[in-house]
Amino acid sequence: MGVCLQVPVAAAASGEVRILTVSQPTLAARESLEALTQRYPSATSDIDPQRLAARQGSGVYVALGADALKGILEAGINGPVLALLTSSEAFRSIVSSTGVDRRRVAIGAIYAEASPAHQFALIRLIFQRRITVGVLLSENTGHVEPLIRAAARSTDLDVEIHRLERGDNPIRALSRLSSANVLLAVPDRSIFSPETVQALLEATYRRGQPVVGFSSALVRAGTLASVYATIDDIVAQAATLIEQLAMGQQPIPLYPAYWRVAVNDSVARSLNIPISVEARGFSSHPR
Amino acid sequence: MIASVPSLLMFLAIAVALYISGQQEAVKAVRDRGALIASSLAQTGQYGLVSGNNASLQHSIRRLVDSDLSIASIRILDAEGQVVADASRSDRDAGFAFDSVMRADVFGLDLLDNSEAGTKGVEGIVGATQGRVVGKVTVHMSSAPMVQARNERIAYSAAALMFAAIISVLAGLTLARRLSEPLRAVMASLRQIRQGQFEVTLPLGASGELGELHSTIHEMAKGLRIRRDELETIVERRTADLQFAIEKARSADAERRRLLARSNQQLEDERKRIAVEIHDHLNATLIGLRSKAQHIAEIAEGMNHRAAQELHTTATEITQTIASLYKSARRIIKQLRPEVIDVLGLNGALQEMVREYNQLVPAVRFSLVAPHKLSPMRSEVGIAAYRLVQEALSNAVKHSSASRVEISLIAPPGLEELLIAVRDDGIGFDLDSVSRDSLGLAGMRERVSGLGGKVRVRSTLGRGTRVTFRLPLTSTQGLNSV
Repeated sequence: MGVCLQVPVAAAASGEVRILTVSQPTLAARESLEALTQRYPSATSDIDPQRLAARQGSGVYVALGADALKGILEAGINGPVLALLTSSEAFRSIVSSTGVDRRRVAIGAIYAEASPAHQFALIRLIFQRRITVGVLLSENTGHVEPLIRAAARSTDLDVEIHRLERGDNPIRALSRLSSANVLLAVPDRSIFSPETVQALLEATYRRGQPVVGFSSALVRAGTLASVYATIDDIVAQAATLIEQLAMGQQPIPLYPAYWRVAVNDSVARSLNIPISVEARGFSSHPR
Repeated sequence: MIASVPSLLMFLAIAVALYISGQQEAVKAVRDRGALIASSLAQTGQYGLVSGNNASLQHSIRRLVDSDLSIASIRILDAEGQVVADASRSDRDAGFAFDSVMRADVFGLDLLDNSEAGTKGVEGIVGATQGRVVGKVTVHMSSAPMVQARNERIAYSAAALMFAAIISVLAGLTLARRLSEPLRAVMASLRQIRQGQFEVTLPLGASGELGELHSTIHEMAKGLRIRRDELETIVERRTADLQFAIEKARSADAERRRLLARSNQQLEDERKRIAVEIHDHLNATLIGLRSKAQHIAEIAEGMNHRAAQELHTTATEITQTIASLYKSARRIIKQLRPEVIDVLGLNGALQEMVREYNQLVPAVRFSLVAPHKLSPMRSEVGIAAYRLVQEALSNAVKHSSASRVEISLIAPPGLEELLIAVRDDGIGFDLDSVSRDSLGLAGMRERVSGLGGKVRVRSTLGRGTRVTFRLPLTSTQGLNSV
């Protein structure tokens, strides 16, 4: 669970929930918008951040997706912002690139992916023995490495991390992780992108190397399993954060507090990896 | 052998069709295969190219080139145009080139999607789309191996077809021979039947149409034999009847001839008796009367009395009338009984007749051509010949308008018959219309028939008439020299 800090003035106002989406929202964005408007019937949604900013009074801005987050930050909104459906790598990159003064603008987030700790826990549950987990990281995801190593330690797994330099071919880089028993996929747009994901999955499959992570969509695409948070899980966690933001607390980005496990049984059968009931039932649901 | 021509023609047509279609199919197959290989390599080689595993690509296309003889070369280039992998065969000409661009597949996927719709599979992954160009594959294909393979298949097919055609021809010939031998036997039997030999030797008991044919021929031969026997019996009976009728007719004809001859003889005898009667009594009486009338005239001549003179004149007139009557009687006697035949013979009698006709009918020139001496002949033959010539000349004078009439008499030695021809240069006549109605011709035919001879009349309109009589000289009856 995240920790909220007290912020001084404006953000503590009664708060209208103002949701920014994009003109062509993803499935997750559409479902999130629907869930949020159910929870907050007075919530306002728009694809234009300026119109949202021009609204009277104060409010909490919710950005659905990385593009919405970028749009809302670039619009110079002063109110507190909660980023949903954005990976930790994208969040950090966007916040950094827009140069927002986080002391002035409270920006919270619930990352789209599950935490490395939960993914390692799942790996442990699946393999039930000490194995080596390989991880590809780039300069964009270097911040995750400590979390990964910590998670490995706590789950008694070995980890082998290869950090790509700018311009490196991620598929070729997989050969550096050939000794790993399983690959943990970490959201990083320079590594896992729609253009590279097929080749990456094909390469690991040829090596007989299962991949874990980092969304249910990726599981459907061909990874073995992943811990993920559903839209309802995210929205349930977001409600708490919105309340805190409205009360003027300074948020910090958080990994989903609730999660569950997705398994690709075809891949499991192909790689001859049995998935236990315990692993399948690994989850945390909102009370 | 003619029966095998359709099979051979069919074989040739199929072989040519196989060859032509085989060539076209080979080229099309090479094109299709080349396009398919290029397209497949563009898809399957994408991973090797993206992953930089050039050795794997090289190995893959090398195996492909080695396994498919129709591939002349395969070359894979990266996005910058650098050759990444290349494999070729030196013994193949590159007839067809196929290029295919290699593009990275882009997943239509929100990698962070954890939506319910996506999780439940309602929506979500919409398939891969083609992204940026990562390279190019070029495949060169050669049609030679495929054409060669096709040609070999065509050759095998043609050989199989030829074998089938030969077998078909041999089978056809065997069947034809098996069929022709029984048919020859059937034809021989039919020829025998046509020649009237109904003893058929075809075997009975054969099955099928041939057996039915044999059985039918046997039945037909049997029927024909029965019918022939019946006809022969009828013919024999009819022949016997006919021969009997002929004999009767011959007998009747001989009787008729005999009757005719006898009738003619009686007629001549009667004529002779009348002539003798006229000669002996009438002429003698007329001579007596003429003498008495002359005596009266002589007595009256010496008297000077007018009455005596009238008596003299009357007696003289009576004498002249009696002389005229005597002359007429003599002519009648001559007509009734041409005793000249007895005196001069037929030859002389005919010469006398010709002389008289030349006097009586000076407009027509009559002539006789006859041998100096004729063979001895029966008296009735001479009389008949005389009468026939007499009738012929009479007809010529009455109907022919001729200027010349010639009588020829021939009695060739050894033939025992007399040939008489009467020929004129008159107007001729239509035999069909005249013969039926002419009593003269009918009388001549009866007279000749009575003697066992023959008459022949030939006439042409405008070109005269020729009548020929053929009379037998000898008979069982007595001969008289005439």
